[in-house]
Amino acid sequence: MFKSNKKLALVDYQDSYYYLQKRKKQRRKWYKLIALGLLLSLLIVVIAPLARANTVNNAQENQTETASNGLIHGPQLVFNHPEQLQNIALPIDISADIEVNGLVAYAKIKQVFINPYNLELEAKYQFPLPEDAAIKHLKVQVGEQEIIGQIMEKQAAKAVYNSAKQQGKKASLVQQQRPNLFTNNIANIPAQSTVVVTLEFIMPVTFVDNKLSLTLPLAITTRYHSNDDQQSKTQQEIELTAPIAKSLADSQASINIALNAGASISTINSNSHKINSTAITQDQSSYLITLTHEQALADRDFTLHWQLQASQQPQISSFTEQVNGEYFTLLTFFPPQLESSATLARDIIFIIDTSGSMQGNSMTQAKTSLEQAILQLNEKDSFNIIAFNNTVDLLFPITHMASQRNIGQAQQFISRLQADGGTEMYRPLSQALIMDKAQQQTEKAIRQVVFITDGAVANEFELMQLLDGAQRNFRLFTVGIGAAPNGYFMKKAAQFGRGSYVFIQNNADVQSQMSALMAKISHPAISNISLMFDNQVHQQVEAYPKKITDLYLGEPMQVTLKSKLPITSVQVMGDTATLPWYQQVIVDDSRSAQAVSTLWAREKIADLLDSLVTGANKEQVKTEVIATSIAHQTLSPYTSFIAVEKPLENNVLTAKNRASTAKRQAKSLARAHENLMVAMPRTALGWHQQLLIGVLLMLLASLLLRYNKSKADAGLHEGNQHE
Amino acid sequence: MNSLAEQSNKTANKTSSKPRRMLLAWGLLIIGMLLSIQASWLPAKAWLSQQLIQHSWQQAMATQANTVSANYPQTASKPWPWADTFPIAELAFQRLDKSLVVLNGGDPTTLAFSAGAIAPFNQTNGTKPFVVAGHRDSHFSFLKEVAMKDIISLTDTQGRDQLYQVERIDIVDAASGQLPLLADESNLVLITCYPFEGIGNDANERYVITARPI
Repeated sequence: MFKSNKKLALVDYQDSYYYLQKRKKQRRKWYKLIALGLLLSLLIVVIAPLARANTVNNAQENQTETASNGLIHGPQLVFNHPEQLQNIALPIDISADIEVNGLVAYAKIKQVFINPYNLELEAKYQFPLPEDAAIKHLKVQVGEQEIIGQIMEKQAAKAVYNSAKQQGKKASLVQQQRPNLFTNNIANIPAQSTVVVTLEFIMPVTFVDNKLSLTLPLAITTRYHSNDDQQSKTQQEIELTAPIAKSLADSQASINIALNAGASISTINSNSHKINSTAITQDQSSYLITLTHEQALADRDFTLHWQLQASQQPQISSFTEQVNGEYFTLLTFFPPQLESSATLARDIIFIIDTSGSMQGNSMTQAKTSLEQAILQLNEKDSFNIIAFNNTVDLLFPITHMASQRNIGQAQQFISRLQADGGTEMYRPLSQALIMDKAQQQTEKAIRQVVFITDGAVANEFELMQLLDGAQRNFRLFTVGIGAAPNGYFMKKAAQFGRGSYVFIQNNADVQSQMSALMAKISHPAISNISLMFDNQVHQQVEAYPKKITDLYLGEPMQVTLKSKLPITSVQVMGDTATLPWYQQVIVDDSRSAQAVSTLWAREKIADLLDSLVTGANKEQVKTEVIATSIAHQTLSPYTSFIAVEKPLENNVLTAKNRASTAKRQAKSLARAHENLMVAMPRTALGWHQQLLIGVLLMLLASLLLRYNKSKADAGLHEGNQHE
Repeated sequence: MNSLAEQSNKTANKTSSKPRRMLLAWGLLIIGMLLSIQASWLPAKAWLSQQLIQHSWQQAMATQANTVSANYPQTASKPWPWADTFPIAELAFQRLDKSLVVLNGGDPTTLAFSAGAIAPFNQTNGTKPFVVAGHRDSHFSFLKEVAMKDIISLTDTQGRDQLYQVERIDIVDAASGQLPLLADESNLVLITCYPFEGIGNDANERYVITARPI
């Protein structure tokens, strides 16, 4: 092989330092150009859709109607007058018959409207139902036409709908945009005629600080509190319409209330109207209330307040109703008015979810509310905190008394909590159920478990089994935060644990709702409540709630019963802080009370539906739910509230007549739905914006660099020239 | 880099404002780059997680197929071990040739990974509506192409299919943060922010697609 000893070095002039630099410079120039081009194209990619969005927006804005209706505070009829778009008529006469039974009120409100125009018109009837009210019956009378609204099976309701649709015009399906605004279309209202609407519904009585109150929406002023410009325009139109002003002046109301408080009443008053009240029983538990001026102006909502006589003992009242040969009994428990020191001690364990999904506001709020809850503890209470994600973190191994020192430790523990990791609920829950209580704690102290989570519960069956198998007596309060919690498990677990379920949809409300819960459960007056019936009756009683919760100070409670035989007496037992407690309730079934069976039916339906989740026969549940729903006129997922024109008897069926009835039928259909609210989470990442800012900054920087460089180059040239 | 430093050295003695401007320029560049990287991380994460979720969904379907008759409660298979959620259903848009695995839950963490079914409307077999929310600028960006009468299929963890037809498309005001729903209809409701090309992450309107089961 040829082998050269000589080292040959070929020096290419292209490799010289000068050329290297030159090529480097050229390359760099290219890089810069490419980078600039990339940046620009990125910018265009980001900006282009934005520019297009603007044009699309403008095009769509005309087509879409933002669904919002202003707040309506009283019943009204909106006429479809050809000249004016909307004409609101207010009732000229309202008469309300209300029956209050303990904590539930049954209202029958009759309203008379007038069509003031010289035209046959169509109108929409609107009634703002009070919160948590449930509609039971509707009757609209226009001339000879009568519309009856009631609860029907969904299939049947749909059939009615479709046949009306096929017979003629488009059936207008009433979609509620706001919960509890009841609407119904009424067609063919003759000129200058009256429309009489009778609405029946039940609603709860509010109980705050041992004061009870009831509000009826009758106000026919201050409508439309909307910031929307369009709305305020319509408002102006309304106010300028003469007939409205007239009907406002003529509007009159009469209100009759049968108030069966269930316990002796100490005061009755109304802030809104002057009232007359007459006691109708000797123990002053029942009153008849009317307005002082029989025809009072209905220019504001009617409110009624009453207060029960203070009692050291819990009071239990009973109301009965008989429907289809079955006996329904409502037991209302009013808590005693005691010093808070006379209540039972608590052994409370907070379980707080610190999983990743709690991150941000949920966690901050949960921590704050937990800190507050700790501070609200009494000296006789003991407590502990369990924080969990996929691991479990305990404050103390067993519960400790709420002493200053322990509270300080707890505060430190809380401040260290951070949201991270997964959601494993089994271990913390099982630990809470078996955890020992502090040695200084009394025997009777109630173990309360407050379970705060936003997590979806995946292994609910295991958890339910865990609760089922628990040896110790405990109360479970579940708090669901945000859009995600598994409501079914949380509700069932709380029912099972004789507690309650709080669902906090808006995480800005966590603190207030939590402190409300803590205040509510802070003073258990009577625990371990059980009911005993006569032997014959006992087998056939169906009671809801199935497990009776404790009775807390300031928190009344209702139990509904159904039985085949009339219940004449119930024996109620429980534990107070010092002694066992016993009371016999004599059920007075001489007078039938409205709405008792509806309350029972509601609970029954909820229970039936819940059984679906644990694998009950779907068809069987459906049949039972429908039967219960129709018998007690209360809404369920399988039934609808539908208003149909009643076929007139003795009516000659002519072709013309039939056509017009079909038309009317189609138009008078209405449905009231049970409306649910779903939280709308934020559904935009906003990365476009960030990217845009980033790219702009980069562009600016590169421009600045270029500018600097050109300046520097110019400076160099200048320098060279000078030299 | 070198030459720039050299240049700055060279020019440093010329004018004192040069290095400061230089520093500013580099600072801006770095901040801009960081912002862009962070911004592109969001859609990248959305895409990546969707791949993992698809995988875990297929796995879930496979195990489902194996244990057909077992009445055992469904075991949620998590897309990654520390996940706080699990796939609950798959949405397929036939016309758009698009499919998406939906996670359980509507919290921000979940929505960063995929569209999420909001409790208590996350029961596929129930009588209640099924409500899914997603980000307008990642998983649900294609919602703007969904048209009336489009067919959407929903496959649940048991492998059951349900077809829905788009019946309404509404744009609603979201100032209250809540949307009233008809409780007694088993509709499919898809929610995303509106307008689609809006910038920023706080939109006051929502695009709501309601589809009726067929």
